[in-house]
Amino acid sequence: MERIEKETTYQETRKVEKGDFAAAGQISASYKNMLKRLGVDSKVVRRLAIASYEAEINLAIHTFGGSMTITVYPDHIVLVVKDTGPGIADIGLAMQEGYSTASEQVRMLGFGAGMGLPNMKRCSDTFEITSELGIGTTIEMGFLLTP
Amino acid sequence: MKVSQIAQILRAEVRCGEENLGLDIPYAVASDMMSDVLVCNDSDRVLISGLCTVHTVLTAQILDLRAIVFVRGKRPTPEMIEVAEENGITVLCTDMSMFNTCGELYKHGMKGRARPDGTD
Ligand SMILES: Nc1ncnc2c1ncn2[C@@H]1O[C@H](COP(=O)(O)OP(=O)(O)O)[C@@H](O)[C@H]1O
Ligand SMILES: [Mg+2]
Repeated sequence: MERIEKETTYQETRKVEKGDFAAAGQISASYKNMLKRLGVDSKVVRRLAIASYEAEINLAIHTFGGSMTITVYPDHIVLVVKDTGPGIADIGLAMQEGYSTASEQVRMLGFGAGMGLPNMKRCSDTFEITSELGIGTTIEMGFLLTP
Repeated sequence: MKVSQIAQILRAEVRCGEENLGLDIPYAVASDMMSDVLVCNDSDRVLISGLCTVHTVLTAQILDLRAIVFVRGKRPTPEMIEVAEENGITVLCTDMSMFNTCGELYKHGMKGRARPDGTD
């Protein structure tokens, strides 16, 4: 997103460990509280929290671990979700609603419907995903603060 | 439909969030798959689920939902109740099946809402 990139008001990076499903969601919940405190419009907060929650769950269930960085600018928010692998072979396929490689165990816990990535795209104003097998995946999502 | 009415129809136990009993919630979503619930970002919904984990409560929190109904006798843990309480979410527990829960609420005028465009 190319708007006022200069005056950063807030930035925070947090780690998500591989397989830590139990804790997944805590970061997104904390974003929600932080953005509410900052007075961000509740609809924007909700869209960001949904996208962030799906991304956080994905880090725990599909990756070797990774990090989430949120940067709050005066007029928009950028969320960067990065992991250290395994990478996605076919991004087009992964983006399809209903496509999932999640385990039966994950499905029993309420995730793995194959709706995460398309929902992240729908909830964000800008969405970019890049991935390299053996290296990792990076997702960058932008959210405008002015509706 | 008032939360108190939902509790009454389902003969549900109110585990926390009594302050929402007078609240009107016009729509419902029923699923054991949280990703499917997250597809619609409408907060005017009661979440009906047989999935009774901390992620069910987290999903409600993320979506700004004000009430959850746990069906088929599922009982939330104290940790789940704590998270729900902190976030002003009413937790109702019924012994009814998912089918009968949805059927009873539908019969009394509750409407579904599950799609991204806000339809049922
Ligand atoms: N960060 C990631 N690293 C590797 N694979 C991923 C990642 N995110 C998503 N995927 C792959 O894309 C599929 C679809 O993801 P998603 O839409 O979130 O659905 P789900 O998580 O329910 O499977 C996953 O099942 C997985 O195979
Ligand atoms: Mg996912």
